[in-house]
Amino acid sequence: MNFLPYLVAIWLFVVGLYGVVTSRNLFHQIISLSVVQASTYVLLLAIGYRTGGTAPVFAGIPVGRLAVDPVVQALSLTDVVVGATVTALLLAIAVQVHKRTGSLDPEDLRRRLGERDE
Amino acid sequence: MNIVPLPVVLPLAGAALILFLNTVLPRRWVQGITLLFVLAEVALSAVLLHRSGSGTIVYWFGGWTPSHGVALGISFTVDPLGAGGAVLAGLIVAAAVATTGSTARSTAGSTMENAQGFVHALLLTLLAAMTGFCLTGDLFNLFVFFELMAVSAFALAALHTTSRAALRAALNFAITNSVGAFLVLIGIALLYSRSGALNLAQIGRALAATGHLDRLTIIAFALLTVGFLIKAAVVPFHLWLVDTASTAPVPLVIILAGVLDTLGVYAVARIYWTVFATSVGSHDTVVRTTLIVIGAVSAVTGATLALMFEGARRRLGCVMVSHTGILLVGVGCLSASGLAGAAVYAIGDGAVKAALIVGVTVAGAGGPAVSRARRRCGVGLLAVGGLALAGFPLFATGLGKAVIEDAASAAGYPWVTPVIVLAAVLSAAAVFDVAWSMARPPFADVQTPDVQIPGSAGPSRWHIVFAVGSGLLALSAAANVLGRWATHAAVRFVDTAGYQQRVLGGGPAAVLGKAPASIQLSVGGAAIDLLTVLAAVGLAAALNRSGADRAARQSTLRAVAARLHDGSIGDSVTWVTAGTAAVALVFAANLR
Repeated sequence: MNFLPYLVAIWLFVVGLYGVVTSRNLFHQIISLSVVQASTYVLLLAIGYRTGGTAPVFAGIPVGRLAVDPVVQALSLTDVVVGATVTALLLAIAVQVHKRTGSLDPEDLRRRLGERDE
Repeated sequence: MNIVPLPVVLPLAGAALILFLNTVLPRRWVQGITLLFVLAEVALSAVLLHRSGSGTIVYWFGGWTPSHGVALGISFTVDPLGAGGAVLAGLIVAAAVATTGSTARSTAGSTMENAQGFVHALLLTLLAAMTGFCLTGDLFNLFVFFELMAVSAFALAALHTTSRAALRAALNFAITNSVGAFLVLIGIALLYSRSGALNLAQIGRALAATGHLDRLTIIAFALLTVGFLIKAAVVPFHLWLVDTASTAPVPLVIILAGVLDTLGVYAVARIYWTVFATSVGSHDTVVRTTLIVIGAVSAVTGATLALMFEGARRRLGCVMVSHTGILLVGVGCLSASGLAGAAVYAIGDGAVKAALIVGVTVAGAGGPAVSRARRRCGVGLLAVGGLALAGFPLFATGLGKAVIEDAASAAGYPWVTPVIVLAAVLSAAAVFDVAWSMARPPFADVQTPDVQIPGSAGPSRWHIVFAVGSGLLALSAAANVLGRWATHAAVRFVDTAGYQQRVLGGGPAAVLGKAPASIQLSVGGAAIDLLTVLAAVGLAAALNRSGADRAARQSTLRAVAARLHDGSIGDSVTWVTAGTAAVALVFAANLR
């Protein structure tokens, strides 16, 4: 086991966060948030990895055979579901923003707050 | 039949049922059925609260009990404080549901009307999540409920899709809180990698076995703390709340004010005492100072902002930040008495903050003109709420605040008392100012300039909303009798060894020290409370007479504050990043 997966996780987290902070387009911002979340998948799977381990399906393999940790895989799966929900909701809000303002630029949205809502 | 999971299962099932009933029943009926589900949750949680008094209840899903001291399944671990949180969540949601009927006929026509169909279902999922959050004994389960809570709240915040400001605030709310959730998840992953466990008691025992905290565990601790504090919306993680409070539908803001922010602080306390307390050991001063400083800074900053900003609900959002800070100081004392004070304060103050939101709604902020009687009732709620906020001894806020001050002094932080008093004076003065400006013409100046607030109660039903507000204030007064309960609950909560033994068996027998004296309002504490109230009334009067509040709103400081709180998502996430880095550095440098 080497450090590469952990470096990837850190890189994804940082670069995604940079995207969220600096983005000028709501879709880009939301996808950046998904990139941040992707770092958690990599981290979880890296933690559960065992060199030489097989998939954690315990039917038809000899007792005592090394397998990767199934718990973190279950956690990642839950995490994916959560991520899909949040992303879908955010995209729905972004669509509404576009409907109301004709723009996806958060700055535009700020400037146009003064105008009356219809 | 074991009822432990029912307070979570019932509202979830209710949410599904409501989605169906929406299509066949009139709105009023749906509201009534929702209320029944919420009250059932309150009753079940109250039964759990009663039962847990004699011993923490441990329920293993699917009967997967621990084997040889190793947790195999997922547990609900119900102690009095957790069950109390579940009851409080139910009561506040009941108040929120009671106000929904009147928010239906709100500003914008059909979009809002359609969205109303989802309000009740979302409120029930939110309640299920909050209840699970309070009752669970499993760290990953805690995260799942945390996310369910968050997603339900995001959807509620974005319901008013015709308002640009509401959409923008909902985006900020969702993105900032999601980043917080990722921090929590990374913290959980790191803890799992070190301890191989997800059950809170099991992780605590595994970490204690190593005898010290290593760097990785410390970073995990920092990430979990910050992640939950984002939900608590303390400075500097509060930017999302200020906007959400002024634009979100009234029921959500009532819940945010009444219980949701509090749960962020609850989670910090829970993971500290179940997982980290033993391993932190003698280094607990570092944790204590960090939490108390964050709490104190929030308390003063939030209250100052509340005086500077405009828009009634925006200012109340700042008051929420301030008072969650005071709550964090109580928990941050890391003592049973501090926690007991915080528990009483959470109930007393949460109810008052929710009542203030109700008051603004009744008085008709941002909505169409309302009748004079209705305006008077709303202003009355705000004025009494302001007194309670300052800690008038009739209300439990006075008791909780005094106990928190004493606990902080006992822990070696005597400067906390004046800071809390200052925060209470400023925030109560801000509430009086809101009440004053809503009581006199021209009424236009209290409106948030850019926001059409959804949820101004319809003409015929504001009496119900007013009754809900009065009920919340009564709840705050009634919480005064909880001193004895809170003391016992807090002693149980901080007993790490007892918790682990109850969940996993084995280990050292629980050493219960002598039962501590029940917290009560000391003469000195009551005197400070009364002085606080007087100072707040005086300050509000002085500000109004001199017009200094107007001047303050045009000062340079205000311009800077407004620039910082302009609702930019990038700013919010930047503050989160900086705050995380700061807490992680402080912990990493000092906790070994």
